[in-house]
Amino acid sequence: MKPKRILIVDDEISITQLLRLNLEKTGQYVVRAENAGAGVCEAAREFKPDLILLDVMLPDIDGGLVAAQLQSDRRLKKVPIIFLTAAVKKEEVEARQGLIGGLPFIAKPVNVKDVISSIEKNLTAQPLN
Amino acid sequence: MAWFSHPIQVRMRKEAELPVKVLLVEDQRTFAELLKAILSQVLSNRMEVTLAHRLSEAAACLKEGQWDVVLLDLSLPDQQGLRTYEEVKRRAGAAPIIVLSGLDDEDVAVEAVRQGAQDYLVKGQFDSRMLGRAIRYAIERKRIEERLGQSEEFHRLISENVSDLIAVLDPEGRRLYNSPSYNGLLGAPDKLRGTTSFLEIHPEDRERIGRIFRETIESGIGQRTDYRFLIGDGTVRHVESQGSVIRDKTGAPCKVVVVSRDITNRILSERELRAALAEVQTANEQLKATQRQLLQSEKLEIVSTFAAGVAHEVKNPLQTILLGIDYLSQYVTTDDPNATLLLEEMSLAVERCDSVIRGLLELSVHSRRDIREHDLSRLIAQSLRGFEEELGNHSVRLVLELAPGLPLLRLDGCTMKHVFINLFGHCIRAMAAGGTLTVRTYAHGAAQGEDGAAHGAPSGNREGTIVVAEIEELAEPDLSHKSPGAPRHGSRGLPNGKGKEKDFGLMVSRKIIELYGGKIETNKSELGTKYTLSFKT
Repeated sequence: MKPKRILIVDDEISITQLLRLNLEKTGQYVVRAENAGAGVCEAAREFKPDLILLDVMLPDIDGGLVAAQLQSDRRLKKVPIIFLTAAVKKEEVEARQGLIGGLPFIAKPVNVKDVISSIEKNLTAQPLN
Repeated sequence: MAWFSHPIQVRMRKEAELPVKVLLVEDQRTFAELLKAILSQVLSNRMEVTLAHRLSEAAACLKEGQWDVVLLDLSLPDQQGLRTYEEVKRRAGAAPIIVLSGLDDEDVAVEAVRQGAQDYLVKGQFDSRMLGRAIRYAIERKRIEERLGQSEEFHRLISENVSDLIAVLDPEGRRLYNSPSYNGLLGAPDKLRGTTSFLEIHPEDRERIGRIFRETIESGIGQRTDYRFLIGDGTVRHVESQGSVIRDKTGAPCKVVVVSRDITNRILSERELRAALAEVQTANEQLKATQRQLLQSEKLEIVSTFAAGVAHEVKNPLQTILLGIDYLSQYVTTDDPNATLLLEEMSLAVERCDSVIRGLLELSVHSRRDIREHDLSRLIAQSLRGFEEELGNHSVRLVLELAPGLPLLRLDGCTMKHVFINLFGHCIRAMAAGGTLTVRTYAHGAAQGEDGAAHGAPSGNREGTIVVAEIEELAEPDLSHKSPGAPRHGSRGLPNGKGKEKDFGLMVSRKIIELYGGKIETNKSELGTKYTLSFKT
C-alpha cells in the first residue's frame, strides 16, 4: 500500500524530528516537517499531504489561523487536520470526543501509538465541515 | 418625710403664740357665761371666746373667720339634734368641733362624733380640767388629722399621677390597692381589688414570681425582678417590679408594695437592636469571608497563570522524551537486558510528570471563574458521566446515594467538576482488581440531624448548614500481590512515585475546595480511602 503523506507542523524541532522518525520507521508514512506557521500553506501545496498534524501554539501564526488558511485553499480544504496542543488535558480531549472547533486534536504528551491511531481514524473519516 | 412635716411645725409654733379662738354655741346664756369663765381658767389668757346663741349667729361667726375649736350645744332655738352638728360642720371647715349634750341626747352626740366631731361632753358631767383637756386634744387631733390628710393626699397624688404601676398586696398576694395606671394594663383598679395578683403573670414566669413573693414575705426584703404579663387578649407585656414590705405592729411583714414599670417597649427595642446588630455582624462576616475569598482567588489567579505557563513549557519537552522512548523501545535493539526496564521506567516517569502538569492545569484552565449557585449532587452526577467505561474496565461497582434538594453552594461549577473528576479517577485507578466506589451526599446542620440525608423539599440556603460529599473507594483484595501490604497501585506505576502524584492531585483539589470555603478530609484504611468534602452554606 502506498505510504500516506503526513505534514507535521510544530515549532519544536525535536518533536517534528522524533515524530518523523517514529512514523517513517513504520513504513506506512512519508513525513514532511515544518517548524513555523508562515510556510505551511506553501509546503502543503507542494507536499500534497494526506493529513496535517498542526501545533496550536506556533510562535509566528496561531495554529487556528493556519488551519483556516489551509481550509480556504481549494486544493487543501479536503486534507484532514489534527491539532496538536500542549494546553489542553487528555480528559478534556476525551470529553469533547477529540474535537475542538470542529477539528480533531490530540493533547501533548502523546505516544506514537495514539498518534497513529488518531491519524488512521482521521484519514478514513469524512472531513467534518 | 422630714421636708413634709417641717412647715407644720413652724405653723404650730406660730400659733402657740396666738390666742386660741373658741366659738361657743350655746343658747342657755347662764351656762354659756359659766363655760366662758371656766375656759378662761383652763386656757388662761391665751384664749378668745366668742359666744353664739343660735345656729344663725354661729353660721355668721364661722363665715367671718377661722376658729381653733367650736364648742357646740346641739339644742339651739333655730336647730336641734344631729342637724345642728351637720350645719355647723358644713361651715366650720378645718375647725374641730366638740359637742355639748344633755343626758338625754348623748346618743346623738355619739353619732356626731362618728360623723367627725372631735369629742363630746355631757353637760353637768365635766369639770374645767376635762373641758381643757378636751379642747387641747381636739385641737391637737385635728392638726394630726390634717397632717395625715396632707400626707395621704401627698401619697395619693404620687400614686395616681405616676405612670409606674403601684400595687399593694396582702401576704397571700391578693390585691388591696392598684394605682390608676393599671387601667391600661389589667383594667379598672377597683375591679382588681381582692383578686390574686399572680393570675395574669405569664405561665412561664408565674412560679418564679410566686417564689420571689414568698421570699419577700419571709425575709421582709424586697427584690427587683423582670417578668411578663399575659393579658386576656393574648398580648404579652414585659414589666420590671420592685417589691417592698410594710410591717405590722409586731414588725411582721403584712403587706407588699409592688412598684412596677412597663418595659415592653424597651425590651422590644432592645430585641430589634440586637437583631440589627446580629445582622450587621453577619453582613460584616460575609464581607470578610468574601474579602478572604477574593484575596485567595487573586492569589490562585497568579498561581494559575504561572502554572499554565509552566505546564505548557514542560509539555513539549515531555513530548520529545515520550517520542524518543517510543522510538528506542520499538526500533533500537540492544543486548543490555536493563534497556527495556529503563525505557519502561522512563515512560512511567513521563506519565508521572504529565500527571503533575495536569494538576497545574487544573488550576489554570478555569482561571476565569463563573461563580453561581450549584447543587452538589447534580455536579457529582455530571462529573460521573464520563466514567461508565472506565468503571466497567476496572470492575468497579458504583454505589450512588445522592440526596435531592441540597442547599445550594456558591462556587464555580466547572472547576468543582474537575475536582470530582480527578477524585473519581484516582479512586478508580486505586482499585486495580475492582472494588466499590461509593458516592454519597447529604446536608446537616441546625435543621437536620447528624445522620441525615437532606429531608424535605429543596429550600433556600439555611444559614450554617453543612453540605457533605463522601467519596469512598473500597478495593477488592488484589490477589496478584503476595503480601497484603503491597502497594495497590502497583499494576500501573512505580510504588515510590504514585503516592506523590496522588498527593499532588489532592493538594490541588484541596486548594480549590478551600477557595469555596470547604474542606476535604482523607481517611485511609487497608483496602480503601474515604474522602469527605464539606461545604458550609
